[in-house]
This record gives sequence, C-alpha cells and structure tokens, in this order.
Amino acid sequence: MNCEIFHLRELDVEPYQIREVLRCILHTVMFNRALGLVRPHDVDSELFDLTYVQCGDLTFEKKMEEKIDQLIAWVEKHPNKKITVCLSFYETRSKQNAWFGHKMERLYWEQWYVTLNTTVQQSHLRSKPHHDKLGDALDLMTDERSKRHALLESGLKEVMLQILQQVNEKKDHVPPVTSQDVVSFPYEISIPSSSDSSFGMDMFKRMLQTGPPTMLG
Amino acid sequence: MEGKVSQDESRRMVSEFFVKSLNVILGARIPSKYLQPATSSSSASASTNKSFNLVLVNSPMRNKCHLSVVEPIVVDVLLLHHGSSACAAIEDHVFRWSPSQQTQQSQSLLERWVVHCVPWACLKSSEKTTQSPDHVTKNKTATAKKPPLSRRSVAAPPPSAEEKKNPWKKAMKMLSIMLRSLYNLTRLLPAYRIFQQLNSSSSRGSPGCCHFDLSYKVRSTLSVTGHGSSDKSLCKFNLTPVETELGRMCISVKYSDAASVERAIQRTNSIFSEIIQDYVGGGGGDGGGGSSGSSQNPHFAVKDRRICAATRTMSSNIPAAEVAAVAAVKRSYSSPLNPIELDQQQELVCPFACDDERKVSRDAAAGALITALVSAVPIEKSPPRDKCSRATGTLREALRELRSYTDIARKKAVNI
Repeated sequence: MNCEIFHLRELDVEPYQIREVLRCILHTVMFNRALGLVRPHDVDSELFDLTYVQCGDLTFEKKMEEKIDQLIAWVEKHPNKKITVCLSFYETRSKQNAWFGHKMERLYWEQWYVTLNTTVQQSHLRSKPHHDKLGDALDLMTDERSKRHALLESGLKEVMLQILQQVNEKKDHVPPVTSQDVVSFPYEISIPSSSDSSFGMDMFKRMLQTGPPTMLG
Repeated sequence: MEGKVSQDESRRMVSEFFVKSLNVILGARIPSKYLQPATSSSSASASTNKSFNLVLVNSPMRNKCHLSVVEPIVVDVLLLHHGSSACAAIEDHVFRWSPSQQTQQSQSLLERWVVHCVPWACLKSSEKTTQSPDHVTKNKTATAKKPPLSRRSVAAPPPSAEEKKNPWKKAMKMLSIMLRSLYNLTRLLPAYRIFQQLNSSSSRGSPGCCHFDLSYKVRSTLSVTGHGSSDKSLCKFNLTPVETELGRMCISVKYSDAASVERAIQRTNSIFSEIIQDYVGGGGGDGGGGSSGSSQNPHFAVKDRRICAATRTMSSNIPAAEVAAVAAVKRSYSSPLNPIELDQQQELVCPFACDDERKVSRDAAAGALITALVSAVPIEKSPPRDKCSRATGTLREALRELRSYTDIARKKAVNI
C-alpha cells in the first residue's frame, strides 16, 4: 500500500496565530478520518470568522495541544522560519527480522503536510520620522495587520475546503476499520525537532527507524 | 441469496444516508425557533441518529421519511428579507413548504444542495466500473484536478474478512467519510453565519431583532425554479462520488459567496449592528450615574465582533494572558462591523456606573478593556524615549481607568 501524501497550501502567519491555525487544520483532517462513533463538536475559532469541527477524542486533543506548545517554543527560538507540521496515519505490522526476531514497524498510509511561513511583524513606528503623528502610524499598522489577518482567514478557509476535497477524492487507501475507538487509526503528529533546525532531519531519522513504506500483499 | 441480502443492505444503507445527509444539512440551516421540541425518542430514531457512526444533535427529520433511493433530494436554502417569516414543514411522508407572507423579490437563494444516488442504468457505459472491491475505482469529479498517473494507480488495501463477506461494508466506510465532509462543509459555507446569528438572537429572547430569516425548500426534482436569483452566479463544490451497489452517490452544493451574502443581508437595512436598548451605561455628563439616569438616557452599545479583531491586531505585542482576555471578550460579541467605523463611534464608552448588578462586572469590564486596548499603543521592545513615554503613558492611563471600574464593580458586589 502506497502512502498518500497531501501538501496543503502554505499560509503566512504571525506567531500568535500558529495555535489557532493548526487547530483548525488538524481537527478538520482528524474529523474526516475518525470513523469510530463520533459526536461532532462545533468550535467557533477564537481568532478567525469560521467554525471547525472536532471529533471529540480528548486524547487527540491533548496530544495536539502538547505538540503545538512544543512548536511554539521552537518558533520562539527560530523566528521567521518556514515550519512544517505533519499529521500521519499508519498501521502497525509485525516484521520478521533475521537478527532481532519480530519487530513492530509502522506502515504509513496517509500524510498531511501543513506548511506555515512565520513572520514576526516589526513595528513601523521606528521607521517614521520624529514629527509624524503617532496616530497616522498606528492607523497604517492597524490597516496592514487587518489586511494580513483577512488574507490569512481567507487562505485558511481555502485550506479547509482543500482538505474536504482531498479526503473524499482519495478514500480507497483507507484501511478497514477494526477499532471501536473514536479515532479509528493510529496517528502521529510531527513537528520540527528542538535539536534540529530543519524538519527534514527529523523525517530522515524517522525513516531510519521505520523504513520506507512497503507494498502490502 | 447472498447477493439479494447485499442488495437489501445496500438499499437500506442508501436510504439511511439520504435521511442522515438531510439531517446534517437542515440541522445547520434551520434556526432553533423552527425546530419542534424533542419528543420521546424511539429506538428507531436513536439508531438513525448513530448511523454511519455520526451522532447528530440537531435532527429535524426525527422519523424516517419514505424516501425514494432513485430520486434526488434538492434542498434550497433561502434568505428572506424584511422580517418575512416562513417555516418549512417536513412531514413524515410529504415535503411541504409553507410560506406565510413573501414574494419572489423578498428571497435570495443562498444554497442549493443536491444529494442523489444515480442508478447504474442511468450512467453512461464509459463511466461504469466494476463493483469488485479488489479493483481500483476511478472516481471523477468536475472540480478535482486529475492526479498524476503514479497516484491513480495506488492500490487499495486488501478487503478485510468482514468486507469480503459483506461488500456493502466498504461502501459504508466511504459514505461515512462523505458524511463527515458534508458536516464540515455545512459549517464552512457563508450561510452558516446567518444560521448562527438567528440562533443567537432567538436564544437571547429577541427573535424579531433580525430583519432577515432563513427558509428552505426540499424537493425531489432537479428542475430550477426562480428565487430572485439565478443559480448560475453561485459557486460550486462537489464531493467525490461514492459507488454503491445501487448506483453512484453524489453530493454537490451551489452557494453564494461571502460577499454576495453580505450584500443580500445589507439590503435588509443592515443587520450587522444590533442596538441593545437596555444596555445600561453612562459617561461624562450624560447622567449615566444612577439607575434613573441609565433608564432615562441609555447608552447604545454596538456588539461588534470585528472590534475585537481590531484590538487583536494591536495586542499582538501584549502577553498571552491579555490576548486570551481579548478572545474572551470577542466571544461575547457577535455581529461584525467595519473596523474603520470604530473610531467614529462616540457611543462606545465605558460605563462607569451601572445599576444592573448582573452587568456590572461583565459589561463594564469588557467595555473598559476594549477602550483601553483600542486607545493604547502597542508596546515596543525599545522604542524612542519620547514615544515610549507617550505610549506607555496612554496605556497606563487606560489601565488605571480599567482598575477603577473593576474596583467600583467589586465594591458594588460586596455591598449587595
């Protein structure tokens, strides 16, 4: 079984927007892949004029918030960088190893890549000459920020529609549901590692541990 | 015999899917004031509510209707202007729309949903695929791009023992995913905002304050009837069809974009600002100090979601606790307003006295916080000295004022 990989549209965000953007996107993906008995929970976004849906699995929510906390801490140390968060779904199989006997390996069947360009907006006041009215500078900053915010909101809605399009376009690779849990399939959320400044290194390490996706049957 | 059982199961599954999808759409479009109170739930309706592993809170169709699995379901969601009210009645066996008082000109078509299981006999022979679960299905949709060749040849995982025994189980899994996407989609489209506003106003006990209403029409034909606007100007979104033993299940929607919805709403004499006539407040010489003053000379406050958006952008340099406070204030507000108008709103003042104890701590603090944040300058890390003193001076002043309001509120609460 090949791994379906989805790259969502890149979004430009400010650090304080990262949490809410990731909540909207990751919850949307998980809700569409949680095939257990789901009691949907509609959530009005705190920062944007949109509503996303949670599947109601507290374990997923907790894990996601922890990862976002780690990511925000990483962003504070590495400002103005492009960050990629990956939500992966996998199956676990027992692999016979000649040297070490049975070994559990993960076979990834779907991966969602969320790419965010973080920008820390500098105040424009410093660039203004002394005698300019403070109010004019504030208005300019507010207008620009409002425009960026509106652009991000529009982009976020497009990303969510993109997710709905792609979860339905590619469904054949979804494994049979065997678990009674709300979240039917094991998953993993990957963020840039705190020790590395590049996301690619983290992916490389994971590949060494689990091996590339293999064909089934 | 097994084939017959499978066909029966497929038919039951498709019928349940129609009911479920209708509940998902109408549950996100019928304002709560039109919903009948929940009657004692029978086991049948309880099992329908959990079908496809998706539990719905709002299920306008509590009892199963006799839906044909061959005919489509077309749901038109309409925006009614100038307070004309309508209630679409869904009876057990008949779909009926009962308008009370409206004309063609007072309606706008917001959305048109189509749920249809296209029988295999109706599909063109070139689009037909085999039903064996071992074959790769080639789902085509008008809006999706063609995936690269390597992706199209992705092999499906081998069917489980359960799916081999009951082939309709795989279709059930696909339909479950489709239903979840439909649920998500109803919350993403612009009409959902109107639904929320109507629910919000009716829950506050003031259903008549909105000069618009939502209505809908359910029918089983695809022929277009005019509703004051053609559906050609609408945006389109199709979910990738799912193949079942009976046919191809398709869900599509044509919807008005956010700008069109705003224009339609503004035609009803602006519903974006809501005047709270019983808002108690005061300021300066307006006599807002005592109960008599507040009742004789009420201040009008505007509930504005975008006020909070404007304060958010300015508060990005403020620590997380304050950002959370702004978000909390935002949640208590509902209607958007152009942020440019904010500066011109002289009525948006902080009440410094309030005779309504319930509002003392909440509204006074909220109003004070908003004024403080709007008038404050974002704190820079190392601003020039003169600007620093001016900026921090303004913020200090605002915070001092905020503290005085909360002190007054606290004293009043103690004295009660």
